[in-house]
Amino acid sequence: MNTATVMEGIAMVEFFGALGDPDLVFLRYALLLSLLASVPLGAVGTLVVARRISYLAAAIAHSALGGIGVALYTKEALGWSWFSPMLGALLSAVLSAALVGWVSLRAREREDAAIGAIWVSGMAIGLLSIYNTTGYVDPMGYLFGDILLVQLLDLKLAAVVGSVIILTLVLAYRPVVAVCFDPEFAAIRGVHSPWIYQLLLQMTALCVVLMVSLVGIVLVIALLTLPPAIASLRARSLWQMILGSIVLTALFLVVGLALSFTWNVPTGPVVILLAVFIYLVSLLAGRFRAKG
Amino acid sequence: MTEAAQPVICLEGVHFAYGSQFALEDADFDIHAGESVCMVGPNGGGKSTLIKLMLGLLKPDAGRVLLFGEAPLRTRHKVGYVPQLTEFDPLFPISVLEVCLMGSLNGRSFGFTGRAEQGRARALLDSMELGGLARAPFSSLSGGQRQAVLVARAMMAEPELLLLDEPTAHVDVASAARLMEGIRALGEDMTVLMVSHDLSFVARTVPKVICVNRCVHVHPTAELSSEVLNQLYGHELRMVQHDYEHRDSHGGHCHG
Repeated sequence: MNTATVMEGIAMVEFFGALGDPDLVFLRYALLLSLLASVPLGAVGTLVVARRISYLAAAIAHSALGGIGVALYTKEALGWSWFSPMLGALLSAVLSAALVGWVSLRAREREDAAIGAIWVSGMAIGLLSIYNTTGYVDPMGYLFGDILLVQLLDLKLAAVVGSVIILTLVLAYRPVVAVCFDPEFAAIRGVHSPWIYQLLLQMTALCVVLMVSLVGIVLVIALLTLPPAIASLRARSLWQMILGSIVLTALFLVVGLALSFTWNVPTGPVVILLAVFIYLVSLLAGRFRAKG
Repeated sequence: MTEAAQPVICLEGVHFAYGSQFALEDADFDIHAGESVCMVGPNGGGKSTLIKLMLGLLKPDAGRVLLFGEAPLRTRHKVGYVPQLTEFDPLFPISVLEVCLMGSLNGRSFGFTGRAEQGRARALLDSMELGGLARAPFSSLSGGQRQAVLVARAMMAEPELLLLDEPTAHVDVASAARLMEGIRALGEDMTVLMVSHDLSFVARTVPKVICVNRCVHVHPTAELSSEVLNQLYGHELRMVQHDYEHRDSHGGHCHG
Protein backbone atom coordinates (compact mmCIF):
# COMPACT_ATOMS: atom_id res chain seq x y z
CA MET A 1 0.00 0.00 0.00
CA ASN A 2 1.59 3.32 -1.03
CA THR A 3 1.55 6.61 0.85
CA ALA A 4 -1.12 8.19 -1.37
CA THR A 5 -3.55 5.34 -0.72
CA VAL A 6 -2.96 5.60 3.02
CA MET A 7 -3.55 9.36 2.87
CA GLU A 8 -6.77 8.86 0.91
CA GLY A 9 -7.91 6.27 3.43
CA ILE A 10 -7.29 8.75 6.24
CA ALA A 11 -9.15 11.44 4.32
CA MET A 12 -12.16 9.09 3.80
CA VAL A 13 -12.21 8.47 7.55
CA GLU A 14 -12.13 12.26 7.93
CA PHE A 15 -15.23 12.51 5.70
CA PHE A 16 -17.24 10.29 8.00
CA GLY A 17 -15.83 12.22 10.95
CA ALA A 18 -16.81 15.51 9.29
CA LEU A 19 -20.45 14.39 9.14
CA GLY A 20 -20.65 15.11 12.87
CA ASP A 21 -19.16 18.61 12.51
CA PRO A 22 -21.87 21.19 13.37
CA ASP A 23 -20.34 23.63 10.84
CA LEU A 24 -20.73 21.18 7.97
CA VAL A 25 -24.53 20.82 7.94
CA PHE A 26 -24.55 20.78 4.12
CA LEU A 27 -22.53 17.57 4.19
CA ARG A 28 -25.11 15.77 6.30
CA TYR A 29 -27.87 17.15 4.08
CA ALA A 30 -26.05 15.89 0.98
CA LEU A 31 -25.59 12.42 2.48
CA LEU A 32 -29.23 12.22 3.56
CA LEU A 33 -30.39 13.47 0.15
CA SER A 34 -28.25 10.80 -1.52
CA LEU A 35 -29.82 8.04 0.54
CA LEU A 36 -33.37 9.35 0.20
CA ALA A 37 -33.18 10.01 -3.54
CA SER A 38 -31.51 6.72 -4.46
CA VAL A 39 -34.78 4.79 -3.94
CA PRO A 40 -36.95 6.68 -6.48
CA LEU A 41 -33.96 7.23 -8.79
CA GLY A 42 -33.11 3.52 -8.88
CA ALA A 43 -36.73 2.48 -9.42
CA VAL A 44 -37.65 5.05 -12.07
CA GLY A 45 -34.23 4.77 -13.76
CA THR A 46 -34.81 1.04 -14.19
CA LEU A 47 -38.06 1.69 -16.02
CA VAL A 48 -36.45 4.42 -18.15
CA VAL A 49 -33.67 2.03 -19.20
CA ALA A 50 -35.98 -0.96 -19.68
CA ARG A 51 -38.37 1.13 -21.83
CA ARG A 52 -35.37 2.67 -23.66
CA ILE A 53 -36.47 6.27 -23.16
CA SER A 54 -33.18 7.68 -21.85
CA TYR A 55 -33.29 10.26 -24.64
CA LEU A 56 -36.68 11.49 -23.46
CA ALA A 57 -35.45 11.59 -19.86
CA ALA A 58 -32.43 13.66 -20.97
CA ALA A 59 -34.73 16.12 -22.74
CA ILE A 60 -36.86 16.49 -19.60
CA ALA A 61 -33.74 16.98 -17.43
CA HIS A 62 -32.15 19.62 -19.65
CA SER A 63 -35.35 21.60 -20.14
CA ALA A 64 -35.58 22.04 -16.35
CA LEU A 65 -33.04 24.85 -16.75
CA GLY A 66 -35.85 26.91 -18.32
CA GLY A 67 -37.83 26.85 -15.07
CA ILE A 68 -34.73 27.54 -12.95
CA GLY A 69 -33.86 30.58 -15.06
CA VAL A 70 -37.41 31.95 -15.07
CA ALA A 71 -37.63 31.48 -11.28
CA LEU A 72 -34.35 33.36 -10.72
CA TYR A 73 -35.45 36.17 -13.04
CA THR A 74 -38.96 36.62 -11.63
CA LYS A 75 -37.65 36.43 -8.08
CA GLU A 76 -35.35 39.35 -8.79
CA ALA A 77 -37.41 41.37 -11.33
CA LEU A 78 -40.92 40.88 -9.93
CA GLY A 79 -40.07 40.24 -6.30
CA TRP A 80 -41.63 36.77 -6.31
CA SER A 81 -39.58 35.51 -3.41
CA TRP A 82 -41.71 32.35 -3.15
CA PHE A 83 -40.72 31.29 -6.65
CA SER A 84 -37.59 29.30 -5.83
CA PRO A 85 -35.35 27.77 -8.53
CA MET A 86 -36.39 24.29 -7.30
CA LEU A 87 -40.06 25.13 -7.84
CA GLY A 88 -39.16 26.49 -11.28
CA ALA A 89 -37.27 23.29 -12.08
CA LEU A 90 -40.23 21.22 -10.89
CA LEU A 91 -42.76 23.12 -13.01
CA SER A 92 -40.67 23.11 -16.16
CA ALA A 93 -39.70 19.42 -15.79
CA VAL A 94 -43.36 18.44 -15.33
CA LEU A 95 -44.44 20.59 -18.28
CA SER A 96 -41.70 19.31 -20.58
CA ALA A 97 -42.46 15.70 -19.52
CA ALA A 98 -46.08 16.26 -20.60
CA LEU A 99 -44.92 17.75 -23.91
CA VAL A 100 -42.32 15.05 -24.54
CA GLY A 101 -44.91 12.36 -23.80
CA TRP A 102 -47.44 13.94 -26.11
CA VAL A 103 -44.89 14.25 -28.93
CA SER A 104 -43.62 10.73 -28.38
CA LEU A 105 -47.13 9.25 -28.50
CA ARG A 106 -48.66 11.45 -31.20
CA ALA A 107 -45.91 12.52 -33.58
CA ARG A 108 -45.89 10.32 -36.67
CA GLU A 109 -42.59 11.64 -38.00
CA ARG A 110 -39.56 13.61 -36.82
CA GLU A 111 -40.21 12.66 -33.19
CA ASP A 112 -36.52 13.05 -32.33
CA ALA A 113 -36.37 16.55 -33.82
CA ALA A 114 -39.46 17.67 -31.88
CA ILE A 115 -38.05 16.28 -28.63
CA GLY A 116 -34.70 17.91 -29.39
CA ALA A 117 -36.56 21.21 -29.82
CA ILE A 118 -38.14 20.86 -26.35
CA TRP A 119 -34.71 19.99 -24.92
CA VAL A 120 -32.90 23.05 -26.31
CA SER A 121 -35.83 25.46 -25.86
CA GLY A 122 -35.79 24.84 -22.13
CA MET A 123 -32.05 25.44 -21.95
CA ALA A 124 -32.25 28.56 -24.11
CA ILE A 125 -35.07 30.06 -22.02
CA GLY A 126 -33.11 29.28 -18.87
CA LEU A 127 -29.87 30.86 -20.10
CA LEU A 128 -31.64 33.98 -21.44
CA SER A 129 -33.49 34.43 -18.15
CA ILE A 130 -30.28 34.05 -16.15
CA TYR A 131 -28.53 36.51 -18.50
CA ASN A 132 -31.26 39.10 -17.88
CA THR A 133 -31.21 38.63 -14.11
CA THR A 134 -29.28 41.44 -12.46
CA GLY A 135 -26.51 40.43 -10.14
CA TYR A 136 -24.22 37.47 -10.62
CA VAL A 137 -25.93 34.10 -11.10
CA ASP A 138 -23.73 31.14 -11.97
CA PRO A 139 -25.72 28.53 -13.94
CA MET A 140 -22.93 25.97 -13.45
CA GLY A 141 -24.29 24.91 -10.05
CA TYR A 142 -27.65 24.00 -11.58
CA LEU A 143 -26.10 22.36 -14.64
CA PHE A 144 -23.51 20.24 -12.87
CA GLY A 145 -24.58 20.33 -9.23
CA ASP A 146 -23.19 22.12 -6.21
CA ILE A 147 -23.15 20.49 -2.82
CA LEU A 148 -23.60 23.91 -1.20
CA LEU A 149 -26.99 24.25 -2.91
CA VAL A 150 -28.41 21.35 -0.89
CA GLN A 151 -30.82 22.67 1.72
CA LEU A 152 -33.28 21.26 4.21
CA LEU A 153 -36.03 21.97 1.67
CA ASP A 154 -34.36 19.50 -0.72
CA LEU A 155 -34.49 16.81 1.94
CA LYS A 156 -38.17 17.42 2.62
CA LEU A 157 -38.87 17.44 -1.12
CA ALA A 158 -36.92 14.21 -1.56
CA ALA A 159 -38.85 12.52 1.25
CA VAL A 160 -42.24 13.60 -0.11
CA VAL A 161 -41.49 13.03 -3.79
CA GLY A 162 -39.72 9.75 -3.08
CA SER A 163 -42.68 8.48 -1.05
CA VAL A 164 -45.15 9.51 -3.76
CA ILE A 165 -43.09 7.77 -6.46
CA ILE A 166 -42.65 4.56 -4.49
CA LEU A 167 -46.33 4.42 -3.50
CA THR A 168 -47.35 5.03 -7.11
CA LEU A 169 -45.00 2.33 -8.33
CA VAL A 170 -46.21 -0.20 -5.77
CA LEU A 171 -49.83 0.47 -6.74
CA ALA A 172 -49.32 0.70 -10.50
CA TYR A 173 -46.38 -1.69 -10.85
CA ARG A 174 -48.16 -4.22 -13.05
CA PRO A 175 -49.66 -1.79 -15.58
CA VAL A 176 -46.41 0.23 -15.67
CA VAL A 177 -44.34 -2.87 -16.43
CA ALA A 178 -46.88 -4.08 -18.99
CA VAL A 179 -46.83 -0.71 -20.79
CA CYS A 180 -43.02 -0.68 -20.76
CA PHE A 181 -42.83 -4.26 -22.12
CA ASP A 182 -45.75 -4.41 -24.54
CA PRO A 183 -47.94 -1.27 -24.71
CA GLU A 184 -50.31 -2.69 -27.33
CA PHE A 185 -51.07 -5.80 -25.30
CA ALA A 186 -51.55 -3.65 -22.19
CA ALA A 187 -54.02 -1.47 -24.10
CA ILE A 188 -55.97 -4.53 -25.25
CA ARG A 189 -56.19 -5.69 -21.63
CA GLY A 190 -57.85 -2.41 -20.68
CA VAL A 191 -54.80 -0.53 -19.37
CA HIS A 192 -54.74 3.10 -20.49
CA SER A 193 -51.25 2.92 -22.00
CA PRO A 194 -50.83 6.66 -22.80
CA TRP A 195 -51.70 7.65 -19.21
CA ILE A 196 -49.32 5.11 -17.75
CA TYR A 197 -46.60 6.28 -20.13
CA GLN A 198 -47.23 9.87 -19.03
CA LEU A 199 -47.08 8.73 -15.42
CA LEU A 200 -43.64 7.24 -16.05
CA LEU A 201 -42.42 10.47 -17.66
CA GLN A 202 -43.79 12.55 -14.79
CA MET A 203 -41.98 10.33 -12.28
CA THR A 204 -38.82 10.85 -14.33
CA ALA A 205 -39.35 14.62 -14.13
CA LEU A 206 -39.66 14.42 -10.33
CA CYS A 207 -36.46 12.36 -10.07
CA VAL A 208 -34.61 14.96 -12.14
CA VAL A 209 -35.69 17.73 -9.78
CA LEU A 210 -34.53 15.75 -6.75
CA MET A 211 -31.00 15.70 -8.09
CA VAL A 212 -30.69 19.29 -9.37
CA SER A 213 -28.69 20.47 -6.38
CA LEU A 214 -26.44 17.46 -5.93
CA VAL A 215 -25.43 16.42 -9.46
CA GLY A 216 -27.16 18.99 -11.68
CA ILE A 217 -29.53 18.64 -14.63
CA VAL A 218 -26.84 17.68 -17.15
CA LEU A 219 -25.34 14.86 -15.12
CA VAL A 220 -28.54 13.47 -13.60
CA ILE A 221 -29.28 11.45 -16.72
CA ALA A 222 -26.16 9.35 -16.07
CA LEU A 223 -27.39 8.62 -12.57
CA LEU A 224 -30.78 7.58 -13.94
CA THR A 225 -29.34 5.23 -16.53
CA LEU A 226 -25.96 3.81 -15.43
CA PRO A 227 -27.00 2.03 -12.20
CA PRO A 228 -29.91 0.24 -13.95
CA ALA A 229 -27.64 -0.62 -16.88
CA ILE A 230 -25.14 -2.22 -14.48
CA ALA A 231 -27.90 -3.99 -12.53
CA SER A 232 -29.38 -5.35 -15.77
CA LEU A 233 -26.20 -7.33 -16.43
CA ARG A 234 -27.09 -9.73 -13.59
CA ALA A 235 -30.82 -9.22 -13.02
CA ARG A 236 -33.25 -11.98 -14.01
CA SER A 237 -36.37 -9.91 -13.49
CA LEU A 238 -37.39 -6.28 -13.28
CA TRP A 239 -37.67 -6.45 -9.48
CA GLN A 240 -34.06 -7.60 -9.19
CA MET A 241 -32.98 -4.82 -11.53
CA ILE A 242 -34.84 -2.21 -9.47
CA LEU A 243 -33.31 -3.41 -6.18
CA GLY A 244 -29.80 -3.63 -7.69
CA SER A 245 -30.21 -0.20 -9.19
CA ILE A 246 -31.28 1.38 -5.88
CA VAL A 247 -28.28 -0.11 -4.07
CA LEU A 248 -25.86 1.01 -6.80
CA THR A 249 -27.33 4.54 -6.94
CA ALA A 250 -26.92 4.90 -3.17
CA LEU A 251 -23.38 3.51 -3.36
CA PHE A 252 -22.30 5.86 -6.17
CA LEU A 253 -23.79 8.89 -4.44
CA VAL A 254 -22.32 8.18 -1.01
CA VAL A 255 -18.87 7.08 -2.22
CA GLY A 256 -18.82 9.93 -4.78
CA LEU A 257 -19.73 12.41 -2.05
CA ALA A 258 -16.98 11.08 0.22
CA LEU A 259 -14.38 11.13 -2.55
CA SER A 260 -15.29 14.64 -3.70
CA PHE A 261 -15.10 15.90 -0.13
CA THR A 262 -11.76 14.15 0.31
CA TRP A 263 -10.29 15.51 -2.93
CA ASN A 264 -12.02 18.90 -2.58
CA VAL A 265 -13.61 18.70 -6.06
CA PRO A 266 -17.24 19.02 -7.30
CA THR A 267 -19.46 16.08 -6.29
CA GLY A 268 -21.50 15.63 -9.50
CA PRO A 269 -18.63 14.77 -11.85
CA VAL A 270 -17.04 12.43 -9.27
CA VAL A 271 -20.31 10.52 -8.81
CA ILE A 272 -20.76 10.21 -12.57
CA LEU A 273 -17.18 9.16 -13.30
CA LEU A 274 -17.41 6.56 -10.55
CA ALA A 275 -20.65 5.20 -12.11
CA VAL A 276 -19.08 5.17 -15.59
CA PHE A 277 -15.99 3.38 -14.26
CA ILE A 278 -18.03 0.67 -12.53
CA TYR A 279 -20.21 0.33 -15.64
CA LEU A 280 -17.16 -0.27 -17.85
CA VAL A 281 -15.66 -2.72 -15.34
CA SER A 282 -18.99 -4.59 -15.18
CA LEU A 283 -19.18 -4.78 -18.98
CA LEU A 284 -15.62 -6.10 -19.21
CA ALA A 285 -16.23 -8.60 -16.39
CA GLY A 286 -19.34 -9.78 -18.23
CA ARG A 287 -17.33 -10.27 -21.44
CA PHE A 288 -14.65 -12.27 -19.61
CA ARG A 289 -17.30 -14.40 -17.90
CA ALA A 290 -18.97 -15.09 -21.23
CA LYS A 291 -15.63 -16.13 -22.80
CA GLY A 292 -14.65 -18.22 -19.79
CA MET B 1 -79.31 -10.81 -36.98
CA THR B 2 -79.71 -13.39 -34.23
CA GLU B 3 -77.23 -13.75 -31.39
CA ALA B 4 -76.23 -17.26 -32.56
CA ALA B 5 -75.47 -16.17 -36.12
CA GLN B 6 -73.50 -13.11 -35.11
CA PRO B 7 -69.94 -13.36 -36.43
CA VAL B 8 -67.03 -13.05 -34.03
CA ILE B 9 -65.28 -10.73 -36.47
CA CYS B 10 -67.07 -8.73 -39.14
CA LEU B 11 -65.40 -6.33 -41.57
CA GLU B 12 -67.59 -4.26 -43.88
CA GLY B 13 -65.97 -2.23 -46.66
CA VAL B 14 -62.92 -1.37 -44.60
CA HIS B 15 -60.37 1.06 -46.06
CA PHE B 16 -57.19 2.06 -44.29
CA ALA B 17 -54.17 4.14 -45.31
CA TYR B 18 -50.98 5.21 -43.54
CA GLY B 19 -50.92 8.82 -44.70
CA SER B 20 -51.10 8.62 -48.50
CA GLN B 21 -50.03 4.95 -48.55
CA PHE B 22 -53.00 2.60 -48.97
CA ALA B 23 -52.79 -0.49 -46.76
CA LEU B 24 -56.26 -1.96 -47.21
CA GLU B 25 -59.03 -1.39 -49.71
CA ASP B 26 -62.60 -2.53 -49.33
CA ALA B 27 -61.91 -5.40 -46.91
CA ASP B 28 -65.06 -7.47 -46.37
CA PHE B 29 -65.30 -10.77 -44.50
CA ASP B 30 -66.77 -12.55 -41.49
CA ILE B 31 -65.29 -15.08 -39.10
CA HIS B 32 -67.71 -17.16 -37.06
CA ALA B 33 -67.43 -18.76 -33.64
CA GLY B 34 -65.29 -21.89 -33.53
CA GLU B 35 -63.61 -21.27 -36.89
CA SER B 36 -59.86 -21.57 -37.40
CA VAL B 37 -58.61 -19.23 -40.10
CA CYS B 38 -55.20 -18.17 -41.41
CA MET B 39 -54.26 -14.90 -43.04
CA VAL B 40 -51.56 -15.09 -45.71
CA GLY B 41 -50.01 -12.52 -48.00
CA PRO B 42 -46.79 -10.70 -48.80
CA ASN B 43 -44.95 -8.42 -46.37
CA GLY B 44 -46.60 -5.00 -46.29
CA GLY B 45 -49.80 -6.50 -47.70
CA GLY B 46 -51.88 -5.38 -44.72
CA LYS B 47 -52.11 -8.49 -42.52
CA SER B 48 -50.84 -6.85 -39.32
CA THR B 49 -52.91 -3.75 -40.13
CA LEU B 50 -56.00 -5.95 -40.27
CA ILE B 51 -55.15 -7.45 -36.87
CA LYS B 52 -54.68 -3.96 -35.39
CA LEU B 53 -58.01 -2.83 -36.86
CA MET B 54 -59.72 -5.84 -35.30
CA LEU B 55 -58.18 -4.97 -31.93
CA GLY B 56 -59.16 -1.31 -32.15
CA LEU B 57 -55.51 -0.22 -32.14
CA LEU B 58 -56.19 1.47 -35.50
CA LYS B 59 -59.39 3.07 -36.76
CA PRO B 60 -60.58 2.43 -40.33
CA ASP B 61 -60.71 5.42 -42.70
CA ALA B 62 -63.95 4.00 -44.11
CA GLY B 63 -66.17 1.02 -43.41
CA ARG B 64 -66.53 -0.64 -40.04
CA VAL B 65 -65.00 -3.38 -37.95
CA LEU B 66 -67.14 -5.29 -35.48
CA LEU B 67 -65.78 -7.60 -32.81
CA PHE B 68 -68.46 -9.76 -31.19
CA GLY B 69 -71.00 -7.44 -32.84
CA GLU B 70 -69.63 -4.28 -31.23
CA ALA B 71 -66.84 -1.74 -31.64
CA PRO B 72 -63.47 -3.44 -30.89
CA LEU B 73 -62.70 -1.05 -28.01
CA ARG B 74 -65.73 -2.40 -26.14
CA THR B 75 -65.14 -6.10 -26.67
CA ARG B 76 -61.41 -6.60 -27.16
CA HIS B 77 -61.05 -7.86 -23.60
CA LYS B 78 -62.52 -11.11 -24.97
CA VAL B 79 -59.53 -11.47 -27.30
CA GLY B 80 -56.25 -13.24 -26.58
CA TYR B 81 -53.55 -11.56 -28.65
CA VAL B 82 -50.18 -13.07 -29.51
CA PRO B 83 -48.00 -10.43 -31.22
CA GLN B 84 -44.92 -11.03 -33.34
CA LEU B 85 -41.80 -12.01 -31.41
CA THR B 86 -39.79 -9.30 -33.16
CA GLU B 87 -41.82 -6.63 -31.36
CA PHE B 88 -40.07 -7.35 -28.06
CA ASP B 89 -36.91 -5.83 -26.69
CA PRO B 90 -34.58 -8.82 -26.20
CA LEU B 91 -32.86 -7.04 -23.30
CA PHE B 92 -36.02 -6.29 -21.31
CA PRO B 93 -35.46 -7.83 -17.86
CA ILE B 94 -38.61 -9.78 -17.17
CA SER B 95 -39.30 -13.33 -16.03
CA VAL B 96 -41.47 -15.86 -17.85
CA LEU B 97 -44.02 -15.78 -15.01
CA GLU B 98 -44.21 -11.97 -15.08
CA VAL B 99 -44.93 -12.05 -18.83
CA CYS B 100 -47.62 -14.67 -18.36
CA LEU B 101 -49.26 -12.72 -15.52
CA MET B 102 -49.74 -9.72 -17.82
CA GLY B 103 -52.53 -11.71 -19.44
CA SER B 104 -54.78 -11.21 -16.41
CA LEU B 105 -54.40 -7.43 -16.36
CA ASN B 106 -57.42 -5.20 -16.63
CA GLY B 107 -58.10 -1.51 -16.21
CA ARG B 108 -58.33 -1.94 -12.42
CA SER B 109 -55.18 -4.00 -11.85
CA PHE B 110 -53.47 -2.31 -8.92
CA GLY B 111 -51.14 -3.75 -6.34
CA PHE B 112 -49.73 -7.25 -6.55
CA THR B 113 -51.03 -10.38 -8.25
CA GLY B 114 -53.24 -12.71 -6.24
CA ARG B 115 -52.58 -16.39 -5.54
CA ALA B 116 -55.32 -17.48 -7.93
CA GLU B 117 -53.69 -15.56 -10.79
CA GLN B 118 -50.28 -16.98 -9.96
CA GLY B 119 -51.75 -20.48 -9.85
CA ARG B 120 -53.46 -20.09 -13.22
CA ALA B 121 -50.30 -18.68 -14.80
CA ARG B 122 -48.25 -21.61 -13.50
CA ALA B 123 -50.87 -24.11 -14.70
CA LEU B 124 -50.84 -22.57 -18.19
CA LEU B 125 -47.05 -22.60 -18.28
CA ASP B 126 -47.13 -26.25 -17.19
CA SER B 127 -49.54 -27.08 -19.98
CA MET B 128 -47.12 -25.49 -22.46
CA GLU B 129 -44.27 -27.54 -20.91
CA LEU B 130 -42.68 -24.40 -19.46
CA GLY B 131 -43.43 -24.94 -15.79
CA GLY B 132 -39.76 -25.32 -14.87
CA LEU B 133 -38.87 -22.03 -16.54
CA ALA B 134 -41.31 -19.76 -14.67
CA ARG B 135 -38.51 -17.78 -12.97
CA ALA B 136 -36.19 -17.78 -16.00
CA PRO B 137 -35.67 -14.50 -17.91
CA PHE B 138 -38.00 -14.32 -20.92
CA SER B 139 -35.03 -13.36 -23.11
CA SER B 140 -33.19 -16.59 -22.28
CA LEU B 141 -35.84 -18.79 -23.96
CA SER B 142 -35.77 -20.12 -27.52
CA GLY B 143 -38.10 -18.66 -30.15
CA GLY B 144 -40.57 -21.54 -29.79
CA GLN B 145 -40.60 -21.29 -26.00
CA ARG B 146 -41.17 -17.54 -26.11
CA GLN B 147 -44.10 -18.03 -28.49
CA ALA B 148 -45.52 -20.59 -26.07
CA VAL B 149 -45.21 -18.09 -23.19
CA LEU B 150 -47.04 -15.47 -25.26
CA VAL B 151 -49.79 -17.98 -26.00
CA ALA B 152 -50.04 -18.79 -22.26
CA ARG B 153 -50.24 -15.03 -21.57
CA ALA B 154 -53.03 -14.65 -24.13
CA MET B 155 -54.91 -17.58 -22.55
CA MET B 156 -54.77 -16.09 -19.04
CA ALA B 157 -58.00 -14.15 -19.62
CA GLU B 158 -59.82 -17.21 -21.05
CA PRO B 159 -60.40 -15.54 -24.44
CA GLU B 160 -63.18 -16.41 -26.86
CA LEU B 161 -61.01 -15.39 -29.82
CA LEU B 162 -57.29 -15.97 -30.22
CA LEU B 163 -55.39 -13.70 -32.64
CA LEU B 164 -51.85 -14.79 -33.44
CA ASP B 165 -49.53 -12.63 -35.55
CA GLU B 166 -46.98 -14.92 -37.20
CA PRO B 167 -46.73 -17.49 -34.40
CA THR B 168 -44.52 -19.78 -36.49
CA ALA B 169 -41.96 -17.17 -37.58
CA HIS B 170 -38.50 -17.97 -36.09
CA VAL B 171 -39.86 -21.32 -34.89
CA ASP B 172 -38.88 -24.75 -36.26
CA VAL B 173 -41.45 -27.17 -37.64
CA ALA B 174 -41.60 -29.39 -34.54
CA SER B 175 -42.00 -26.39 -32.20
CA ALA B 176 -44.73 -24.96 -34.44
CA ALA B 177 -46.60 -28.28 -34.32
CA ARG B 178 -46.24 -28.44 -30.50
CA LEU B 179 -47.46 -24.85 -30.24
CA MET B 180 -50.58 -25.62 -32.25
CA GLU B 181 -51.24 -28.74 -30.18
CA GLY B 182 -50.92 -26.63 -27.05
CA ILE B 183 -53.37 -24.04 -28.40
CA ARG B 184 -55.90 -26.68 -29.36
CA ALA B 185 -55.59 -28.39 -25.98
CA LEU B 186 -56.23 -25.08 -24.20
CA GLY B 187 -59.36 -24.15 -26.13
CA GLU B 188 -60.96 -26.66 -28.47
CA ASP B 189 -63.98 -24.51 -29.32
CA MET B 190 -62.10 -21.24 -29.41
CA THR B 191 -62.13 -19.12 -32.57
CA VAL B 192 -58.58 -18.80 -33.90
CA LEU B 193 -57.23 -16.33 -36.45
CA MET B 194 -53.54 -16.36 -37.23
CA VAL B 195 -51.19 -14.64 -39.62
CA SER B 196 -48.59 -16.90 -41.21
CA HIS B 197 -46.08 -16.89 -44.06
CA ASP B 198 -45.66 -20.63 -43.76
CA LEU B 199 -48.04 -21.99 -46.41
CA SER B 200 -47.21 -25.57 -45.49
CA PHE B 201 -48.24 -24.84 -41.92
CA VAL B 202 -51.41 -23.10 -43.14
CA ALA B 203 -52.36 -26.04 -45.35
CA ARG B 204 -51.90 -28.47 -42.47
CA THR B 205 -53.65 -26.38 -39.84
CA VAL B 206 -56.78 -24.56 -41.04
CA PRO B 207 -59.66 -25.16 -43.48
CA LYS B 208 -60.06 -21.48 -44.48
CA VAL B 209 -57.55 -18.89 -45.68
CA ILE B 210 -57.80 -15.12 -45.97
CA CYS B 211 -55.47 -13.81 -48.68
CA VAL B 212 -54.41 -10.23 -48.00
CA ASN B 213 -52.52 -7.94 -50.34
CA ARG B 214 -54.29 -4.59 -49.95
CA CYS B 215 -57.44 -6.38 -51.14
CA VAL B 216 -58.87 -9.29 -49.19
CA HIS B 217 -60.10 -12.63 -50.60
CA VAL B 218 -61.32 -15.60 -48.61
CA HIS B 219 -60.71 -19.15 -49.89
CA PRO B 220 -61.15 -22.67 -48.53
CA THR B 221 -57.61 -23.98 -48.02
CA ALA B 222 -58.26 -26.84 -50.45
CA GLU B 223 -58.80 -24.26 -53.21
CA LEU B 224 -55.50 -22.51 -52.57
CA SER B 225 -53.92 -23.08 -55.98
CA SER B 226 -50.64 -21.94 -57.50
CA GLU B 227 -52.60 -19.37 -59.55
CA VAL B 228 -54.16 -17.85 -56.43
CA LEU B 229 -50.76 -17.63 -54.73
CA ASN B 230 -49.07 -16.16 -57.82
CA GLN B 231 -51.74 -13.46 -57.90
CA LEU B 232 -51.41 -12.84 -54.19
CA TYR B 233 -47.62 -12.65 -53.96
CA GLY B 234 -46.96 -11.28 -57.48
CA HIS B 235 -44.28 -13.93 -57.84
CA GLU B 236 -44.25 -17.39 -59.37
CA LEU B 237 -44.98 -20.01 -56.70
CA ARG B 238 -45.57 -23.73 -57.20
CA MET B 239 -48.07 -25.47 -54.93
CA VAL B 240 -47.03 -29.05 -54.18
CA GLN B 241 -49.89 -31.25 -52.98
CA HIS B 242 -48.95 -34.13 -50.71
CA ASP B 243 -50.90 -37.30 -50.07
CA TYR B 244 -52.97 -37.11 -46.85
CA GLU B 245 -51.76 -40.47 -45.53
CA HIS B 246 -48.16 -39.74 -46.42
CA ARG B 247 -48.03 -36.30 -44.75
CA ASP B 248 -50.64 -36.91 -42.11
CA SER B 249 -52.17 -33.62 -43.21
CA HIS B 250 -54.69 -32.18 -45.60
CA GLY B 251 -52.56 -29.94 -47.68
CA GLY B 252 -49.35 -29.17 -49.35
CA HIS B 253 -46.66 -26.54 -49.45
CA CYS B 254 -45.16 -24.09 -51.83
CA HIS B 255 -41.89 -23.67 -53.64
CA GLY B 256 -40.86 -20.29 -54.98
